[in-house]
Amino acid sequence: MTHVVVVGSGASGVHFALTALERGHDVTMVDVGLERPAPVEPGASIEGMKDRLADPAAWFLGEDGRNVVYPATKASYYGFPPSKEYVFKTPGAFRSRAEQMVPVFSFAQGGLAEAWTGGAYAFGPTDLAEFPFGYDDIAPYYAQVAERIGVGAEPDDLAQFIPCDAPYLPPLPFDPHSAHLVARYQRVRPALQQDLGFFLGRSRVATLSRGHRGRQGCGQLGRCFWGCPNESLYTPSYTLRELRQHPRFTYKPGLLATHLEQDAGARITAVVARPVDGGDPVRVQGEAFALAAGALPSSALVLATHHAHSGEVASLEGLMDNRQVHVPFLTPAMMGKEVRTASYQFHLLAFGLTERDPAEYVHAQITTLKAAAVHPIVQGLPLDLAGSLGIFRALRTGLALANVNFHDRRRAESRVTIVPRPDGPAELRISYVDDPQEEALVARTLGRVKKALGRLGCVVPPGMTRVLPKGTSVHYSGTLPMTRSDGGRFSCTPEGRLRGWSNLYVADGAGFSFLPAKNLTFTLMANASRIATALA
Amino acid sequence: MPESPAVLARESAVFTRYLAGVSTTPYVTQAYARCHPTMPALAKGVPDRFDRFLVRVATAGGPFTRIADAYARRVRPTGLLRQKLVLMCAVLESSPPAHDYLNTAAAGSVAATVVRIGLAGVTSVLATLAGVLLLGPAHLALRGKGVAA
Repeated sequence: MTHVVVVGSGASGVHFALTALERGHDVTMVDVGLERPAPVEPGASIEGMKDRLADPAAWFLGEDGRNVVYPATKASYYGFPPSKEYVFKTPGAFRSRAEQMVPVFSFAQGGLAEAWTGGAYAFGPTDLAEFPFGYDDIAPYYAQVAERIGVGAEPDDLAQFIPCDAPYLPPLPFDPHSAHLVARYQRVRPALQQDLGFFLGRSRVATLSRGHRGRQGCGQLGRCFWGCPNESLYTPSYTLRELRQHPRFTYKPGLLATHLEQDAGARITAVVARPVDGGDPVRVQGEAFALAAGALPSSALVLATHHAHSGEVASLEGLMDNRQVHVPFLTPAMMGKEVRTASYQFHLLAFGLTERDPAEYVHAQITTLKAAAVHPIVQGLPLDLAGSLGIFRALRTGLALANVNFHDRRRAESRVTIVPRPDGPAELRISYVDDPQEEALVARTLGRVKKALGRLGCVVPPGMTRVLPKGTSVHYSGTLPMTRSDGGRFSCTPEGRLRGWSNLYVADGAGFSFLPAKNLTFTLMANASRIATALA
Repeated sequence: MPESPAVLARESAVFTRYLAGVSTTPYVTQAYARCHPTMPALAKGVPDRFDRFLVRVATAGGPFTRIADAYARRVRPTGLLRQKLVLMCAVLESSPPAHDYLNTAAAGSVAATVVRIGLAGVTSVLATLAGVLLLGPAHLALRGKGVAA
């Protein structure tokens, strides 16, 4: 059996590690590992918390109000609450600079998926066409991960785009607004499909509709955004907790990996890491190594390793990220209904739009407004705040948001490199160049989205649709791609091993060969598990 | 220069009444005051005379709050007054006594809802017009004036 060192505890790292342990390997995980705060008032609903907490404003807005979203200070409908700040804290030693992209990093236990909204979509055969393996090769790992984390799904009109053959749990019940949209869709379904290539179904979500593996089913508390106290909404830190119970697992938190050491035979011998609290670098030795720090940090580690050994500063091409567009809309028939803030908060519906090239399928999730921070929304309305509040309260139960995602392909212009520093980890430089064809695709798609929503009885207010900057989706991938034929030292075999080294595996999104419009997190986990089975 | 507790208490009372229709509480006032140092309009230095003038008008209460807010929405959408009101909205939606009000919908039929929206819109337009008439001249007079007290 092999001693495997895994860098990172995000969605990829924990499922790689769990599969490796299940196959009898010893696993050491190197991680910065910032911890999530303990949940407060675990049984309380979102509004109940406001009554029960001694200082609710501090919990929701931060002690000094730093989480208040002020006018024009952020181009966002929301600001992350203090309870999620640990996800985005960056150690001082880590440095990055980006052009035409706003990358987000996480050094938390569980990584960026600690802040996800649970979208769990299997890639289908078309999505995997550019990968060096097919759907049948990864399907068993979707099933394995679905059983581990609990995904709610059922076959529907989206099943032709999103395989639905894993052991899924029953889905969550619809909220009244989502149920209304589904009922309306059933009435106009043939026309929407034929005229607009629009298909509506349930979003596949990693949120438990019933108890599963020691976690509780959704208690409809409305606290999803702030952190589910029931652990119904899966995050990788739950799997990390499971790993830490295992006798052959060693967790080494507080370490920021800077590079890997290799011998003369292109074999990695150790991860070199700096304690985030200061002190001398440490070496963590092993027999095989897996990078699961996230596509960008993993790329930096590979580049720093290459530089340490060869003195050469290389760059990695093919960085991908999904373009996201937020389309707020109103369903007039739902106005004036009772507000249920104590209900599941995230998306329950998804829709797909077909394109001539099936790989360019557009995917969207619909989140109907339930619990929400009010002040970021009302300040954007074109009236005084009292009038805006009055209108918001009148419209509230009819409001929803479609988060529309677009595919991305590897292109040479989008790349990462490093600037070595003598006194710390190399600085990561990221340069993303937009696909010149994307703008037309986005414009064409948004026209179809507006027409489709119109046929569902919804209205898209003019001027409120937002094309978000690259980096927002945090679906970074493609810099160390898996390829069928030899793509050089910075490409991976179909089993995820970097060709430039004999025992170094890429378990995260850096190894992706293509980025479909669907959320990649479920595939990150399944692919990491698939790669772990390839260990000798 | 930090704003005095008495000024902030007055703002808390007026803005809570304006946004939620209820009396403020010591907790709301304390939360509102302690969040001021991170407010962008104050963190970047002393706001200009017109920004401070708008806050003084709004703090007079009654219709003046709405008129100043409506005018600020047009001419100073990211200015001091709007930031103070957004902060108060954030505090109120997060804590008693107003979170229930801000997080419920005005229930009723679609027709009643449309009427309610229409009334809110008309009131806001009237408040903006009043702002132009009452505050526009002061705005012109204070244009280009710096931060002198």
